[in-house]
Formats: sequence, structure tokens, C-alpha cells
Amino acid sequence: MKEVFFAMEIYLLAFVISLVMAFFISGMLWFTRFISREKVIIKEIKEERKEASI
Amino acid sequence: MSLTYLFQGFGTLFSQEPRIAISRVVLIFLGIFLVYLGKKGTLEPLIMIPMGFGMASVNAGVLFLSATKTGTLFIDPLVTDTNGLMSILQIDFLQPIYTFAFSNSLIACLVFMGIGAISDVGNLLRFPFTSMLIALFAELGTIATFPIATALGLNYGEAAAISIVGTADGPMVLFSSLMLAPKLFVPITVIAYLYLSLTYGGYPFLIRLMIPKEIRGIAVKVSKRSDITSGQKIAFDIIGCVILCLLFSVAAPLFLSFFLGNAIKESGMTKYTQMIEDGFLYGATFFLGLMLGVLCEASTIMNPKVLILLLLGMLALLLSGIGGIIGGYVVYLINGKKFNPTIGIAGVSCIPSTAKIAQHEVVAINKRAVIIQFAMGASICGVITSAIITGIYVSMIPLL
Repeated sequence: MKEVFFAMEIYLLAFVISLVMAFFISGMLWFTRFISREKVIIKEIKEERKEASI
Repeated sequence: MSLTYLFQGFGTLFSQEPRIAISRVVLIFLGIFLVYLGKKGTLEPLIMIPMGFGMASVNAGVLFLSATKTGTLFIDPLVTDTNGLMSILQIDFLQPIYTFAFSNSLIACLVFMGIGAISDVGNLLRFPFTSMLIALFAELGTIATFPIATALGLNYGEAAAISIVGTADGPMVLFSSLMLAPKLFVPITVIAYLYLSLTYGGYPFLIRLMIPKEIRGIAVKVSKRSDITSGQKIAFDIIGCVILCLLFSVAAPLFLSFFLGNAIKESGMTKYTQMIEDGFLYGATFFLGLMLGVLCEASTIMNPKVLILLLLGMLALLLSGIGGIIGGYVVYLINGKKFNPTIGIAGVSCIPSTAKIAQHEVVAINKRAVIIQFAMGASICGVITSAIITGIYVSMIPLL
């Protein structure tokens, strides 16, 4: 019985770590997409200002 | 001069214990049979042909080392003291590879680096939750075999090592058995590689048994917002590697090898990628097969636990396959029956075999259904969850 609980404990630990990794991956992707979107917006604003100053 | 001393391979057969002599003959024929199965394509030829040759030759080439002692000029895996090892290194031709590359898991790490270099983590990054969930279910064999193995009389280290066969990951089994059950690592690793070769033949039947035709043909829609850049993949590789190394330092060589291989591929260093794929992966796989064969000497492999290991290895892989398909069904239900549960088998991390099996079985029913990207995501996730569970076993077993 002790071994069954030990195996379940290992599975639970692996489950939590894997879930955290999945959240981390989603978060990382969201962050990189956010950054690249912001970069595009900043670039557009700069171009607009440049055009306006001309 | 006696003919026994002239033809020592034959001569030693008559001077050894009958049990050992019979085992040698059986292993010679088994080696020849493995070469045949490898050539025919029933088993993986990359491993089986060198392994079969090694197994047949080491059991044939036994000679008299002294009046009372027999041995070979291939390898001595049991030598422990430094002086003895230095002598053996100068005599046995495969001993340097065994001592400097095999017993310290270097070969396992090189194979893992190669796996990293041929893997695309983009599929995992596109569907992280689906892939992780399937991969976790596909670890059923790795978890459920452990209590069964201890109930059958194996100690914790041996039970964990044979349970890891359920990950269907050869280098992982080699690494963990060297760490947890060094006395049984030869039979465990040989069993693992034999069974891994058989998954290609066995899992399609499991899929057909567990998934009805109408569900097996479901085509899964892919959302369009799924471009993953190489920068994102490398960021995942380095951060994932550091986090996993922080959590499970004992398995750090494996994590480093896998993620480094992948990062090199993604960074576009073609010369390095070619070196890892063509040099490291194939070179290490060749020596892995040869070493496993050579280690199957009758006197080394004769162990009453081998029969139990044969049963448990098969059970672990079977349970992992069943678990993977159950995981596929869970995602199928969560996604409103729009997901193909056949992808579940790919969670068993035998890259890329299980993903190919899943795609093959789906195409047999629906020629337009392409599920390979989901299957590869689950497979790569399987490698990561396998490494996590191996890390937990290797860290926790010595503390028990």
C-alpha cells in the first residue's frame, strides 16, 4: 500500500510540474506576441510622427 | 594438444556449468534471430543488427583465461577495482567505450541530444495543455508498474528502473537503470530496447481495439494563430532546461542534452546539427546496440529476476499505451468530441514511432485527416514528462 501511495505522490508531483510548464509556455508565447505587437505599434507611431513632421 | 584448447569457443561449452553452456547456445541463436528480424524490418535494424552481432559473438567467443577461469576479450562490466580496470582496459577491446562512454551515461546523453536535434518543439508550444495532458496520461505504465514490481519482490530501485520502460524512451531507461539498479541494468535495458522495437507492431492493434472506426477517422481542425518563431523555441529550450535542472539536478545531463540539441537545430547552425544527427546520434545508437549485445553474455545476464522483468516491461508499455489512449479520450470529451483520441498513443514518447503509428492508423480510415502535428506535440511532451518522472524517481528512491 505504501508503494501505491508513493507512486501516486510521484504522479501528482509530475502532474503539477507539467501543468506549471504548460502555463509557463502559454505565458511565454503570450508575452513574446505582446512584445512583438507593441514593437509594431511603436514603429507605426514613429512613422506617423515622421510623416506629420514632414 | 587437446582440441578443447585449440577451439576454445567450443571447448568452454563443455567445461562450463550446463546451465551457462545452454544459455550461451540459446543467446547465440537469439543474436542470429535478432539480426534476421532487424534485416526484415520487424525490429528496429539500427539497434538490432549491432546488438544481434554482439550477442552472438560474445557468447561464441568465450575462451580460457586461466586453468579455472573463462571469459572473453570483449568487455568485463563487473570489474570494480582500479588496478583490475587498468589491466582490462588494455586487453578487452570494447572496455574503453564501456568505461568512458557507457557506464557514465554519455552514450544515453548523445542519443538524447540527437533526439533533441530531430524534434520540433513548435508542436508542443502550439498545443501545450493538450500535449501535456496526453503525455501525463501516457505515463500510466511508468507509475502503475512500480507498486506491482515491488509486490513481485523487486527492491525500490529495480522496481523504478523497470517501471521507466513505460516511458518508451531508451536513453531514459539506460540512464535510470544505471542510477537505480546497476546490477540489473543489462537485462532491463535489453528488454526495453526489444520491447520498444515491438511497439511498432503492437500499438496499432491496441488502437483498433480501443477506438472505434468512426472516432478514429476524426480530422482535427488547426487554428491559424499558430506561428512559432525559432526565437520562441530557443527561449523555451533554455528556460525549460534551467528550470528542470534546478528541480532535478540528478537528471540534469539528460535535460541539457535534449534542450541543447534542439536549440542548436533552431538556431540554424547547420554544421552542428549535421554533426549531432549524423555523427552523435547514429554513432551513439550503433555503439549502444553493440554494447547491449556484448553485455548479453550468459554468465552476466543469468538472473532469476529476468523473467519478472520481461513481464513487467511488457506490462509497463501496455499500460502506457492504454493510458495514452484514455488521455486522448479525455481531450476528445473536453473538446466537444472534435479531437481524435488516436493522438493519445503518441503521448508514449517513442519519438517519432508512436506519432507515425497514430497518423498511419488515422489515414487508414480517413485519407484527408492529418493529425501528425498534434501527435508530434504529444510525443515531445512525452519526452519531457518522462524526463520529469525519471528525475523524480532518481531523486526520491535513494531517500526512501
